[in-house]
Amino acid sequence: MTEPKDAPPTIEMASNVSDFFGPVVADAIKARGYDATDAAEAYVVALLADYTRPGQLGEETLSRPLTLLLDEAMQTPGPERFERLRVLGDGVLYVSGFFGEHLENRGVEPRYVSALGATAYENASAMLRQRAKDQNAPDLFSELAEKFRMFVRLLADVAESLRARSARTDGAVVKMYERWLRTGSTTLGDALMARGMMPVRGSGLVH
Amino acid sequence: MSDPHHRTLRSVQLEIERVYGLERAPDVVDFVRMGGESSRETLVLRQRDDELEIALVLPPVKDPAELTAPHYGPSDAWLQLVEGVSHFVYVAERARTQLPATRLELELQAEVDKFVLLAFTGAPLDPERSSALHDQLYERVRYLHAADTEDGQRYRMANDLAARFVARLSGREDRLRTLRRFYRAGQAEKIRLARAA
Repeated sequence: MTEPKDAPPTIEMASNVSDFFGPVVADAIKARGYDATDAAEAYVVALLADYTRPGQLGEETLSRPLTLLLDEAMQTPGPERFERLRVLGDGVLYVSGFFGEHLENRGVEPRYVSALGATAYENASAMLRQRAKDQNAPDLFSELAEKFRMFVRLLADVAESLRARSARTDGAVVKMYERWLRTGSTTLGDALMARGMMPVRGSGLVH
Repeated sequence: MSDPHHRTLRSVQLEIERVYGLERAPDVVDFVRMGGESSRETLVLRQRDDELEIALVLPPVKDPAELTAPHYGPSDAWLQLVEGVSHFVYVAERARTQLPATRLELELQAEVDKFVLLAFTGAPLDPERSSALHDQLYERVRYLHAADTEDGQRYRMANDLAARFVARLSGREDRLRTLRRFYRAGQAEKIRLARAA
């Protein structure tokens, strides 16, 4: 199979980055029936928009022990503590969703990573609640903490959806199929079917 | 401008546009300028020929936590940010649809938007919390302008009308439709809808 010389461009046009991610996130929530408030959905879109900028790729989350980062955040005094907890929660959420395979290849247990991310958000939420007169008031970060694994799955779906959208050549579709074989991603499976392919895993039977 | 500002600005813009079913306006982040230490939120507009120049001036925030509102108990910094984004989105929408906008409309819509974002886009608030939020936003308020000034009268009227309008939204099945109708209404219709509450 060869790559066509006149392959269409893979540049997505949108007036701003939130425009680009908004519909992708909304579609994933609707398709999978994720239980996210509008506020949380908007936060995730804004998070993705932030991470498109250079220097925001969560390098620290990928390169340093997460327990160390959480401990450092918890030991940080004053207003900076909230920000470090939020950034850590964001980083873990983003990396777990977009680079989950990378973490697993490093031998990191996804549940453990998610627990750390949820802890970071939960502590950020606790700092917010301390200021509110109503200590049990609902807030965005408690939602992100309580449903952390669901939000990781949401970002993983978004990542797969973006990969599927960018697969515009035969070679890219084959790679998408190979990725579907490895991950069993429903999003990729749907994308393959939309291209007229019926993704089927080998049954081991001899024909 | 800091990352927390970016995140909150974009989140608030997205939530407002989604609630009211608006076409996407330009990214508000590109129009924000940071003001001085004691400045307040200000939307600066300048119309020249067919062009509309917009800048949203926001005060700096020392504590990033103030930019994230619990759905009950928002900070002054968060409320100023919401007011600014509300003005920005409203002006952009009215310019897009080539309709005029008055300062009272802007203030009234912003007062409504604060309650809508806190009460209806996050985890549901029980009636007690919803009532407490209404009290915080509309009853226990302090005005920077005296009651006998034009600005003072406008802010008080916007506050009063918004309080009446949002009070009847909780629990209504047609809440979203009512909000969208209110958003697209001009000044006279907005006042009529609010006073009908």
